[in-house]
Order: sequence, then C-alpha cells, then structure tokens
Amino acid sequence: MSNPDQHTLNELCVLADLPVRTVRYYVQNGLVDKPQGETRAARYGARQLEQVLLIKKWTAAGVSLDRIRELLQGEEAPVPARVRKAGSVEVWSHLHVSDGLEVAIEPGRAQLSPEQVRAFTRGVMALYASITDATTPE
Amino acid sequence: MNALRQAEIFCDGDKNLMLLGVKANGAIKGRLLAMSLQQRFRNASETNTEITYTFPLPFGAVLMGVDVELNGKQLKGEVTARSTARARYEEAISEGNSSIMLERNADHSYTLELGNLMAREECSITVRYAQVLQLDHGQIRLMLPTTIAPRYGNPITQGGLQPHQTTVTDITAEYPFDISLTLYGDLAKANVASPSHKTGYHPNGDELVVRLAQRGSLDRDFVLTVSDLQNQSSAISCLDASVKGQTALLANFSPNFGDSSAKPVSAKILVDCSGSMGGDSIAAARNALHRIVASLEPADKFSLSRFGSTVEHRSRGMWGGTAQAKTSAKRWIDSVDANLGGTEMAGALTSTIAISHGGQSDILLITDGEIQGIDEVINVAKQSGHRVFVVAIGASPAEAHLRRLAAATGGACDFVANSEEDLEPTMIRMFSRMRTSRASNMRVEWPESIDVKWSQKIPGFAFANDALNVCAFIQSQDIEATTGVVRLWGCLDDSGSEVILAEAEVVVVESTVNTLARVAAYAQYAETSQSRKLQGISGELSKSQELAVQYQLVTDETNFILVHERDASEKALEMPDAHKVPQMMPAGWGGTGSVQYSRRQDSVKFSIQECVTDSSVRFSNKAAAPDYGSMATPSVWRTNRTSAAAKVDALSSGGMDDFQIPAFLRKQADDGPSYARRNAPDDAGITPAEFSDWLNAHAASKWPMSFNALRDLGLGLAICEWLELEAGQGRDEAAVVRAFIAVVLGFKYSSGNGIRKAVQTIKGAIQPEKQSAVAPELTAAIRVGLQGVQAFKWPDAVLNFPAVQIA
Repeated sequence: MSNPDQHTLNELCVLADLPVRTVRYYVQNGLVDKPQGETRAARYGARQLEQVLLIKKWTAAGVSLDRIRELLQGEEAPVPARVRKAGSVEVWSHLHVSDGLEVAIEPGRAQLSPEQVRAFTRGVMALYASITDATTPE
Repeated sequence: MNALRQAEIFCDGDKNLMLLGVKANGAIKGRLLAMSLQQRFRNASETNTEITYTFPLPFGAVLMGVDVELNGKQLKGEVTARSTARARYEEAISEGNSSIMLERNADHSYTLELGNLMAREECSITVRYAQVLQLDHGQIRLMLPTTIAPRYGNPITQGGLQPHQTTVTDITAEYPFDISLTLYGDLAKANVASPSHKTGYHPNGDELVVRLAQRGSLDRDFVLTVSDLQNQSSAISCLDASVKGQTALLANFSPNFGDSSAKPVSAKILVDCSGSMGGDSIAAARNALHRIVASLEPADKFSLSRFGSTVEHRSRGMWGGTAQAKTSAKRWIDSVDANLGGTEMAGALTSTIAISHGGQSDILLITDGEIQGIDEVINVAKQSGHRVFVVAIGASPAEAHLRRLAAATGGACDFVANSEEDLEPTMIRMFSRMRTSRASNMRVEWPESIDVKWSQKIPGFAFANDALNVCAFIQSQDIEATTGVVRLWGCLDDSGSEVILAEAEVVVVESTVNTLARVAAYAQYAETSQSRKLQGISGELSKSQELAVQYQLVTDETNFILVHERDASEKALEMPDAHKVPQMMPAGWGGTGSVQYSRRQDSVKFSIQECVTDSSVRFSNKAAAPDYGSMATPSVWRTNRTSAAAKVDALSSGGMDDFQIPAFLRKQADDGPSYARRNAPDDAGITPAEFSDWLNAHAASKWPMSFNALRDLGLGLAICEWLELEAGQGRDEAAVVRAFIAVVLGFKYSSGNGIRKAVQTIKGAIQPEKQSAVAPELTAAIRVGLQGVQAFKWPDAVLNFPAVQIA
C-alpha cells in the first residue's frame, strides 16, 4: 500500500472483512461513494471504508439496504403522517369503474384540481375499456 | 419504519426490462427429465451493465451445463471451486472484460451474474438440468418454477443470501415464457394434463409433444401431471463416461405394502393466513380444509389453528371427528381469511406442537411457504417429533423450502395449483399417507454379480406407492454384467419382520451426455457434503468439491464461470451499472387479480409505457409510498400486527380498508366497559362479573347472538367451546347463547365499585328487565354446568373443558 488512505477494491474488502461482490454491490447501488479513477486504477479512501463498516454493522442488525441508504444520506426518520383530528370530515369520491373495481379519490389530500380529477377519470375509464376489450373471450 | 426488510415489491413501469424472455425445452424418458431453459438478455441502457438474475429451479434438479451465446458467438465455460470462480469473475469485471457466473444460493435458487454487457448487446444463456421425477400414487407431477414470490423475513440475516442474490418483485414486469415438452414411452400413452396452463397435445408417432396453447409469462409455475401410470419399480444402468470401468445405476422403487389396514389419524391442522395467501390461495386453502374435515372419521382426532404474525387456535385440545365437531370446524373454515399479516411460521409451529395430545400426532400445514427463515422452522419441527405433512398452495409456492421441511420430519409434501381439478387427488394422497403404515429400517439388496462402490443412503421411512429413488456407482468392466434384480427390503410399522417392498430388473441404457452418472454423482456429492456439515470435518471439503468439479456440477461449493476477453478497444472503462432482474408478481399473489379468470382469457395486451408517455405520471411508488404503518388501525382488526408487517398488510388490503369501513363498525365511544378478544388458547378471558357488566351496559339488541360474538367480546375459548360442544350440543346456536346470557345475568355479579353498582341499579330500575325467551331445559343444563362459579372465576370443569375430555 503506497498511500495508507488509498485502497484498491480488494484491499478495502480485506479491511472490512466482506466479500468483493458485496462491496461492489454497495458501490453500484450508491450505498458507498464511487472510487477515484477508472477500473483497475480505482482507489477507495477512508470515507468509503467508514461507509462499508457502517453498512456491515447495520446489515447484521437486520436493517434493510434501502433504509441504510437513507440513513447514510443523512435523512431523518420519516415524520409520521399527520393524525387526522377527531371530528374532521373527509369526503371520498368513489369512482365506480366496473363491478368490483373502484377508485377512491379525496381530491383535497391528493392535491388535484377538478380538471385533473376529470382527466384522471377519463384516463382510468379508457384504460379499463382498452384492457377489457382485448381480453374478451373469443 | 421499515427497519426490517419484509417482502419487497415495487412498481417501476418506466424502467427498461433487460430479460427478454425464457424458453423451455424438455424431454422425459422413463423417470428422467432433461430440460433446457433459454434465457435471453439485452442491455437496454446506454452504459455497460452487470445483470444479475436470481431464478428458481425444481427441487432436486441437477444442473448439467450452461451454454452461452454472446453477440451471436458461442462461448464455453467450466465449473470450478467457488472461490476460484468468484476471483476470476471479479478480475474480469475490473479489467473491463465480460464474464458470466452461475451460483447456487443458500435457499436452493440460482443467481446468474452477467457482467459487462455493453450497451445494446444481447446474450443468450441456456441452462440445462436433469431431474429424477417422482412417481407417487400412479402420478408424476412435473413442476417448473418460474418466479420467486416475495418472501417474509430478512433475506440476508434469515435467508442466508448475499445482497446481490436477493430478489425484488415488480408488479409491472412481464417476461414471455414458452415451453415444449416431449414425452416418451409409457408416459406418452398416459393421461396428461396441466392444471396451470392451457396446453396443446400433439402426438408424434410414439411420442407426445406438449406445448402452451396460449401466451405464457413467468408468473406461475408450469405444472404437468401424468397420471394413470402403473406403480411399477424400475432400474437402469449406464456406463459412466467420466470414470473408466464405472457404471451408474438408478433404481426407482415404488413400494407396495399389500393390504395394510387404515389407522386413525391424529392431525393438528395449521393454516397460513398471512397476507401473501390472499385471494386465490386462501380460497384453495378453504376448499382443501373442507375436504380434510369431511374425510375425518369418529376415531380420528384433530385440531384447527391458523397463523400469520400471530397464531390463533380454534381449540385448546384435540377434538374427535364427530359430526358435532365437524360442523363446528366447517363454520370456522368459512371464516378463515388471509388477514393475519406476516408469516411467523416457527412460532406458530411451536405453539401448535404444544397443543395437548395423547400419543403420536402429525401436523398438517397448509401454506405457500413464502418465508426466508426456513431453517429455523425445520429445526423446530424436527425436535418436536411431529411429522409435518405439507399441502403447498399458490401459483408459485416455495417448493424447496417445503420439501425440505416435510422430508426432515418424516412427512410428505404435495402441491395444489389454484384449480379445482388438482385438489381432490392431492388430498386423497395426503390422507392415505397419514392413515396407512410406513415402512422403516429399509435396505437395498443388490444382485450378487454387482460390485457396489457406493450407494445412496436410503431415507429412514417410505410411504406406500410413493417413489423411492436410489443411486449407486458400481465397479464393472462389462456393462452387460450389471444386470440382475435389485430389491428393497423393509419393516412395516406394525410388524417387526422384514419383507420385500419392491423389486426391479436392471435394464442397461446408453447415453451420450452422461446424464445418469452425473445425477448419481450429485447424489453422492449431496451425501458427502451433508455428512461434513453434520460432523464438522474440514478435510472432507476438498473431497466433495473434487467430485463436483470432476462431474462439472454446480453445487454449494462450485460455480459455473466463463470469461470472455475483449479487445482493448471494446473493454469497459468503468464499473458496470447494476441491473437486478425484477421478478414477476406470481399470478393471484396476495389477491392481485385471480388466476381463475386468466385461464378463461387469451392474453392481456397492454403496456404501461404506452399509456403514460404523454403525461407526467410515473408508476414509481418509492417517492410517494404512503406510510401505512402509522395509519390508524380500524377497530375491526383484532390482531396485534407489528409495523414491520404493515407493508404486507397494506398490500393485501390495498390500503383501502381504512376509509372503507362503514360508520357503524368504526371505533366509537360507548358507555360500558370494552374487552378485547384474547387469542391465546389458555387465556381464561373475561370473568363472569365483567361479562355481566358488559351485558348490563348494553342494550339487549347489541348482545352477542353467536359463539363467535362471545369470543369477540373477550370470553375465554374454553368457555365458548364448552358451551358449543357440551352444554349446547346439537342445539340452535342463538338459543344456547341466549340461555347462557340469561344464566349469567341471573347470578347478578358485578365487578364495579359502589358508584358503578349504584348507577347500574338505577339503570336497571329505569330500563325494562332485559330478558328474552329462553328454553328452560337449556338454562337448567347450563346452570348445572356452571356450578361452583364465582364472580371472578369460571368453574374449573368449564375452564379445563377439552383437556378433561381427552384425558
């Protein structure tokens, strides 16, 4: 190792005690920062080692990779959806597409204008018509 | 917070799919299937890509080889030790070359890695495998799994998978699938049907070719049943092309026990009611249950339980198969739904095993097996001494998991596709296995002229008419000398003497691809590596690995590897982008559409891409995934689900239930006490005083009218069962409940303090007497049964009701 802070992929894996395939998977999926340099000349630094070790620890604890990605990117725990106040009134429109098929819309929460709801409705009806036309038995 | 990764499903309609389709081509001769699966890939992106595709193969399939065609050029690879293959693969990727590796995963699926496929390049991979088919009760059931359903649990910590081997399911993904099968010999003349697909049958001389009659896709297992075959034993031998002077031998025994009497069964029935069983699967499970219960006889014993995130037992002990108990069971079955969230199978088994039973009991498990942590389940079942019989349900059940579970406990596993015609024979087979005696202490007698070098260990038991396959290697210079009769000896359960169970004449066959020898070598490998695991011998590692390399078998210790060196100008300069081939959603999974309908239609022609190109709509729920976990749980859900399972719940309900619940069912303030239903079988439930309080606080119109309603109120299971099966035996349900209420009210208990008592006295004074017509003799019977009742305790005789009856 010429520079103690610069590692090849193999060295990084030895330091973290993880298979090469696993670490490469983390890099490919954006969990670990991309290295400096191309293919064989690629070098990983202290930052990447730290990321790999953190992922290793969290994975062992059963945390999903999607969640780890969020944590690494410094995301806060998601704010829980606002609890609807007791006594508040919500009106849901039920668009009846066919027997057994309904679309429930609350335009206020979906943040849709009446024009958009109309377009949505037309689209849904057209889509339903097109897939059922193609599948009617001969 | 989804800290634990549960079944992961996404919907990513705008993503280019890189798997173009799968084509299967197979031939069945005798009991051997040779299949080739052609998978075609295309890099649809603008950058060099590494495609990983995790796919299932049938349980017991032996991978014979992989043929690769890259940009129209045939390439050759080999099987080497796993670590060597991995190093060569990584080396090739880092140098910008192309490489293809095939690895066997811990859950018996396979992962194909196809590294550095350049933009717009195409690659075709043909995986060839062989399989010894099982002839059970005159039927061969050929299954080709096509997709891996979302599984409950953590794939890395519980499933033992590496991150790149895990699967994701995309609800919009669609890959075409086609299959053509040729049947030879007696199979071509048998009764051939496919419960999974519409198929066409084309006789060709003495052969029968089976092809799909409609467009298929990789969303359900292909199943072909060949029935009305004779339960006949057979044996074949073939020269081994890998080792000189060695011959491989395969004996397919079909044990016959003569007329053994049917024994009463003692079955603890456990039904999977997790979200993934929704729709078609739970309907099939209900049908299966009805058939099971209908076939029970008075001497049989059974219990009913269902599980998901939690487990609910219908009874604390085992019931006899009386008409009364069966009627009650039928009512329970009708109410069974896939609404228990996750799939905590190990916990459910432990709890079911603990149900008291006299002597030997079996567990009959009805499930789709979609879990990651199967090893834990197998350990629990093995230690209990219960045999586990599995009825696997769904368009794509986890075959390897369930077969391992059944085999490890001495039970059996059978499959039901989501169709009616498939169910009846399966249930008949299952019960005949449970009722008849098994053979044990078996041994194979080889012909005297044969010098056996190695022979496969025989399982500890066998069922009548269920195939038992034994492989062997024999030393011989002359293939013709390997003839003679092989016999299977064993003892039946009820007798100590050894009898011949099956025998077959060895027939010499010829093969150009050395299939038989490699199938036998795989069996030998599996045995060696298994004994190594059990004994922890490290020295044996090289021995089993050597064997796998010698016969070019892809195993737990060996991978297929191919490296294609590119010209300097063609080499990739960067680490490839990763593309994991998403799995198709199994047909009807968790209630997403119904397979019953797709069998009636030709095909759905519809593309998400076409519909959304001119708008800003994106079918990606990653950004806008609603947080179902924190939504208010409506009061009609009674189970304690964790937020981790909420994703699964959200799928089964589509997130719609929350606002679809009619106003009268929503949680509302009421003036009386409220108790929750308690599902633990040992829970005594609410006391007589608490029950009286509730009755007094509510109008008579709201009083329970059925045993189920009593349970919902919080009354203990034992009391309800006593009421149903003892006190009110054979009487009208509503009348029994009315009489019971009248008796309890007659005791005039109350748990309240002085003020509440006073309030109730006042209420009682201003309200008319709450009494409705009850049958006097019923009331008398119940009162006698409740002798010794106290305000805070039901009598012991009632609390221990089923246990007392069994003892």
